[in-house]
Amino acid sequence: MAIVEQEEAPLELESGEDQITERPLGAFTRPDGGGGWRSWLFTVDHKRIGIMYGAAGLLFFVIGGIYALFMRLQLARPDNSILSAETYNQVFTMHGVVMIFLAAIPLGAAFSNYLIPLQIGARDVAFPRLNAFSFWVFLGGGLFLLTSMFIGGWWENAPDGGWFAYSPNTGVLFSPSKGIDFFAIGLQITGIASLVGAINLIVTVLNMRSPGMTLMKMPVLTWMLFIVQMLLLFAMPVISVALFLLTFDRLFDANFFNVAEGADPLLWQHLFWIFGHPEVYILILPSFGVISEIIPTFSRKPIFGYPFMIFSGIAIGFMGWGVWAHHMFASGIGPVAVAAFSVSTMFIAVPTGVKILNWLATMWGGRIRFTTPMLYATSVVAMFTIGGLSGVTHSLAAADTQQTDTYYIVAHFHYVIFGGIILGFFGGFYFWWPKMFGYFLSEKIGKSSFWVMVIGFNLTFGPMHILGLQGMSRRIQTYSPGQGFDFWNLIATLGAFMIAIATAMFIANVFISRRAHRAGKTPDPGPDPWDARSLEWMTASPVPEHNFDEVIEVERQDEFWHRKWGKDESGRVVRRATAEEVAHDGSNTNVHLPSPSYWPIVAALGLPIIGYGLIYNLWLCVVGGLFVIAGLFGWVFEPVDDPNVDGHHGDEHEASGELEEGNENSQKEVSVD
Amino acid sequence: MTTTRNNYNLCDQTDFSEKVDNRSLRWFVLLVALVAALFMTGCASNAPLDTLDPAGRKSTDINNLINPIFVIAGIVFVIIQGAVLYLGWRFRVRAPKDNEESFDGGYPDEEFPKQVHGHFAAEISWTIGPTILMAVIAAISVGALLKLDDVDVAPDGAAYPEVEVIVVGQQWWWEYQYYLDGVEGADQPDFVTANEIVVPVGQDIRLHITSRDVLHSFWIPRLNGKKDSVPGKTSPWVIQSNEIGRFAGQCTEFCGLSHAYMRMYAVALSQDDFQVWVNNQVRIREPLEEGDANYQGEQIFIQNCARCHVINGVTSRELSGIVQLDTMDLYGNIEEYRDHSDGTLSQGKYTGPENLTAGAAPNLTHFATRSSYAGSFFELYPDAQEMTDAGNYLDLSGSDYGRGTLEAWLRNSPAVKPNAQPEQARGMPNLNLSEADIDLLVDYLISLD
Amino acid sequence: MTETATAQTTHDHSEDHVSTLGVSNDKLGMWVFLGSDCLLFGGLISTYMLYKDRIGPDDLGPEEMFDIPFTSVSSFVLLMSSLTVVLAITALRRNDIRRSRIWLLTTAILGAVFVGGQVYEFTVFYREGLGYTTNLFGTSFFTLTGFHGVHVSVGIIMLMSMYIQSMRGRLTVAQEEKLEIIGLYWHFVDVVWIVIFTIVYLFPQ
Ligand code: HEA
Ligand code: HEA
Ligand code: HEC
Ligand code: CUA
Ligand SMILES: [Cu+2]
Repeated sequence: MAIVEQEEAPLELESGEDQITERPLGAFTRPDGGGGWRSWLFTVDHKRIGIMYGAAGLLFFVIGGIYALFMRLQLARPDNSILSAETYNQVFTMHGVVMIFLAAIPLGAAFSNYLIPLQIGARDVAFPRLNAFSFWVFLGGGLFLLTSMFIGGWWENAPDGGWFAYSPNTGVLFSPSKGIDFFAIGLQITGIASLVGAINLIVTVLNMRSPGMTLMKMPVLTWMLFIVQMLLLFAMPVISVALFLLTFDRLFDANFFNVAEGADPLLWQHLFWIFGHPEVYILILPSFGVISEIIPTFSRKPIFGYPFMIFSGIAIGFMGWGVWAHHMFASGIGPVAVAAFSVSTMFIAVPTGVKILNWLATMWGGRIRFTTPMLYATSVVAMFTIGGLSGVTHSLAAADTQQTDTYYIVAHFHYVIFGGIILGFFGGFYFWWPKMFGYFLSEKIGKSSFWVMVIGFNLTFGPMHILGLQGMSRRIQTYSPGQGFDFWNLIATLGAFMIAIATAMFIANVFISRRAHRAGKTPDPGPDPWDARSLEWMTASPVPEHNFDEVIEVERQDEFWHRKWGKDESGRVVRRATAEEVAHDGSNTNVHLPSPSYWPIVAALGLPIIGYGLIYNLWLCVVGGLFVIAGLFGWVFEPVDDPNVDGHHGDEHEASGELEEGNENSQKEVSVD
Repeated sequence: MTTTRNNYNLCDQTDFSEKVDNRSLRWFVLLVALVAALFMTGCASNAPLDTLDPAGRKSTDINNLINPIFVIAGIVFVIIQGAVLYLGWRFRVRAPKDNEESFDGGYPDEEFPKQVHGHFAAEISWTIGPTILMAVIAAISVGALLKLDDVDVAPDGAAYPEVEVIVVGQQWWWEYQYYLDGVEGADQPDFVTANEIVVPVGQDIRLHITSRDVLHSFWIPRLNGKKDSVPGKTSPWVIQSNEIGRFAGQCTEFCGLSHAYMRMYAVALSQDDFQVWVNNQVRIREPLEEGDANYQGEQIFIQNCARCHVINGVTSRELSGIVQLDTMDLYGNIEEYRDHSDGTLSQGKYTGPENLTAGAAPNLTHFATRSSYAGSFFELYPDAQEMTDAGNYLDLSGSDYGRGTLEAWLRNSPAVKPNAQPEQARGMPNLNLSEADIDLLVDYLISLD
Repeated sequence: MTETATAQTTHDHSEDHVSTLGVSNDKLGMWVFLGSDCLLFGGLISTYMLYKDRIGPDDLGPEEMFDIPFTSVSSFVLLMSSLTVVLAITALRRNDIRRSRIWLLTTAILGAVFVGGQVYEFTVFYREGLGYTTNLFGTSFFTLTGFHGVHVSVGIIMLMSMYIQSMRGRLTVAQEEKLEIIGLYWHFVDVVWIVIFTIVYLFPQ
């Protein structure tokens, strides 16, 4: 094992004035770790970044949900006129875009950022500043997209081409508002965030595992998140290309999707769905990972069939690349292609089914504690299956010609997305909340909001199966009486408001529980409130900034659990140690932390400015470009340490080169064993 | 009640509460009753677009494919939901302290179940089992797909073996170009109509689906699945109806502003009626003489409407102005146009604001024979559905018509059906006609039988 | 300079945390990034392949435009730069700062010659009537080669900043890996060009 030379001066985690020996002069200092908002703005700590991803993701979820509520209000009655056709088209596009790109992906990123380093026993991610950069780029891109709602008029310039923005409807001729520009550039920006984040986390998982933690000892969640990053890595450039082509068409009169010049409108569909289908597995796998942690913990059994869980995840990831044209069964791509994609799609049911059955087998024979997280996790197994089964009915291409672009599809993907992802993530919130914030969320509110949510969810999207099979098309702003759609639409609208109430209950829970905890009415969770299994529970709650006090040597899968529990001769589980004895208390202050930095946010800020520049005034691009350049320049030349540490290796680092993070790489390692 | 077959029982999914005490049992029963009640009321309405109510050969094939799949899916559904409920109920442990914020603290910590890490045989079996199941489904499905995609029409015994129709989608209505002797070798359709595709009952009709602007999707659920209409590309498709009647359809690919209002009908007539209908459609009109009824209406039409609409024999685009039909290709690319202000003929694409992006408007030669108009969003005859289903489609043009909506359409069409006029040249503009003109125009239009 | 803690093991900078694979994070990161970049070019090349023949009857197409001898030469120049960057790295490894500096500069210059050739090619095409929006061939050709050109230019900037570091005496053996990473990127850009050259320029002939 290799350990690293230790700093001479102990490092204060909070800003410790007394430590300052010499503050490097000039522009390129690093922010001190100080408190308040600055500690969030300039942080490079993966946990804070994870929390910010989570907060932003939830915020966007609520925004996307409010769009959905307006859609549901409009659709509640036939011939309704709450939203005009023009507005409705923008609202459903924004709903899809915000939910997929600004809510679901970032919530996944929240779990990835917060938990991957903890679960593999690392101090932080591989490139902490890049991590901060990813987050700010994502947030900037997201806000950029949202501003399309009001820039240049209220609901005049929001994207209106649907979330998959089929050409040629997105050409300037048919969509002359700025909406599609916002769509293309905004997604390009958030795409950069995802790509950079993926690179970062892939390197983290590959390179920064605790000694002894081989790949096949990693927790299932880390594995699923790792697969997600691989999918992002290869999917993002594809949508990037598509968005570039679209942007060039719109801004520079290129002809990629100009049918009059002989272009093929199906090119867009191929590019989009080559990205788009892996994307849906990007969305679902984090949730699969989350419930793979929750179910064993509360069943008090190890995950059933760990290798099968991993390999089925990998299989889903791989197969996800070969099925994209199932979104194009009606496009006229020819019976051979349709048949091939139809068959490849069907077989994705196999690895997914393995997962479902393994979760059930994990519960089998367990001693199941139905805490709120467990309720959510179980509901995922049930609800996702419904969406998966309707997915299988789509995969029969002949049958899909009756289903595609109807509410039956809408029902399918909300069952997998809401039932699979959102419910799983709420479970994850309840599960890791004590770890992240040091207090429990109220179980009482949690359980009741769970029931409101699950019932509301089924009332919203269950009827959509019927509506779709009765022939209700999606993306229609209204329908006529006499089409048989009235009743179930009303029910769906009611359900949507139940989901809203449940979401509000969750948000209220956060504040109520925090108040209760502050008032001393609820217990401290301690490091390991649920008798859990993976390494993140082996440190204090909330996790100290340096994660672990010392390097954890991993021998087994579920290392932490095995340190707590052993077996006696008769094979019964007996306690070896309490969690408190095993877990770190976070008291080690000798850990050298990467210092906060101004530059990620500065560089990130440039991108949306460039975006506005491309749409409105090219001069703004220059301004944005300056931000980016300034950010990169500062990035490269800032000293490696925060001002609170004596700069004894600062000069070495100043001479850094071009590569991000390269300057932080020169401390010597000492091998001991 | 075709739709209830594949519905998921809400209670099955939701109720796996860890406490099935009396109180929640009561709730459970209540919920079941509620859901059942909902179903009764919800399914009472009839749905003209129902996908599970086939009326044609192709849609029946699809139905025969999907029904067993719904059954299989239903079985898997019941198994999985049942397993979740059963395992959750069977293996639950209660927190010892009831009615209290117990978090985790209340559970007896030292008790563990048997620690099972996996079972290779079981896992292999539930890998291979579904694989085999899916392989069987895949084989059936591919067979059905190839059958569906087989667009060879069966000519034996068919009364009108050669009829083919080019279906052109555009924002936000459908054009049907009828080729009575097949499209091959023909350079002109025999006649052109809009929104309602009329076919002889029992016979396969081959369609060639394309678009002049963006993507649309042609879908008459009771006759066949949908096929996208893609500009620059023609997709073959077949429809056939076993029954006489009028079948609703809806454009299902998002095509911009008025997508929701882009509907269509397929009308299946008896073989004889179809022949009568065709004979009427190929009829070319004579321009009216001064003194004829509706002469004035026609003149107003020529002044205001002919720059977009064609009435065969009366107006043509060449005659009236901007666009010459025969120099416009299928995709609406205009190669030549005449500026109506000074009469000059120019080369190249006309992009002036007053023209239409897709370059075409519905042909109105026999407007009054259609039961609906403007993307079939408006009914011209209130009794159209009943009359058509009863086989009296041909008598429609003598029946009462909905004058009010037609007037509203001419008064200000963007107000009754959203379109991109006047900022963009898509859809029919508001022509600011006087009420008197509108009156005359309606009379004229309704005379176009 | 410090005592090594043995009793209480701590970790330090995550950046130089024990690297599980024995490759530094930076280098691994570059590999991972290049993997992703493959797909970017994959998408662009596919687009080009789909569109290269979609031109009007008397439009300018690949056959009319390409000047194979010229592009061969500039391709050769770029190929050579892959060699020189290797020379720069080995020189640095031997701590031969002066040589490494010379090879660095040579590489950057060769890259610049290549980009210059591309700019020249573009202007010739433009003069002959093939603009960015002329037809689908033009659009997809300029987009594909343009993206590659931008990649080369970014490489040149990285090389030049290494060169500047070197002039300031800050490029030493210790930074060898940094140069190696830039070298990786440079090789990648080269390989992509070989693919583009074959598919775009040579195939149609
Ligand atoms: C989280 C996201 C997610 C996930 C996981 C999935 C999973 C699947 N999806 Fe879905 N899908 C979407 C999100 C997702 N989808 C979205 C967003 C769209 C619409 C996009 C748009 O148009 O806007 C879409 C659309 C979509 C279509 C296109 C429909 C159309 O537009 O015409 C198809 C077609 O094949 C499809 C199929 C599938 C299949 C087969 C799976 C499978 O992976 C499901 C596998 C799971 C199971 C089958 C259940 C568990 C298995 C068992 C219990 C084993 C036993 C079962 C059997 C043997 C059957 N999906
Ligand atoms: C992550 C993905 C995601 C999620 C979570 C959702 C969630 C929801 N969606 Fe979905 N949806 C999509 C992704 C998603 N959607 C996509 C991709 C499309 C396709 C778009 C397209 O066609 O282009 C779509 C389309 C779509 C349609 C079809 C529109 C159409 O075709 O015309 C409908 C219709 O009902 C709908 C409804 C809903 C509803 C009611 C919810 C609900 O679950 C939302 C619930 C959430 C809330 C209600 C949050 C609100 C909370 C509050 C208000 C709390 C109060 C606030 C405070 C206390 C501060 N969505
Ligand atoms: C600039 C072009 C333009 C002009 C001028 C125009 N129309 Fe139209 N008209 C259209 C378009 C486009 C549609 C299809 C609109 C739709 O379905 O959304 C249409 C549809 C119609 C229809 C419904 C046809 C059907 O079968 O669906 C009628 C009737 C009609 N127009 C009458 C008129 C009359 C009468 C005038 C003149 C007073 C007129 N139009 C002038 C473009 C035009
Ligand atoms: Cu045409 Cu939707
Ligand atoms: Cu998919």
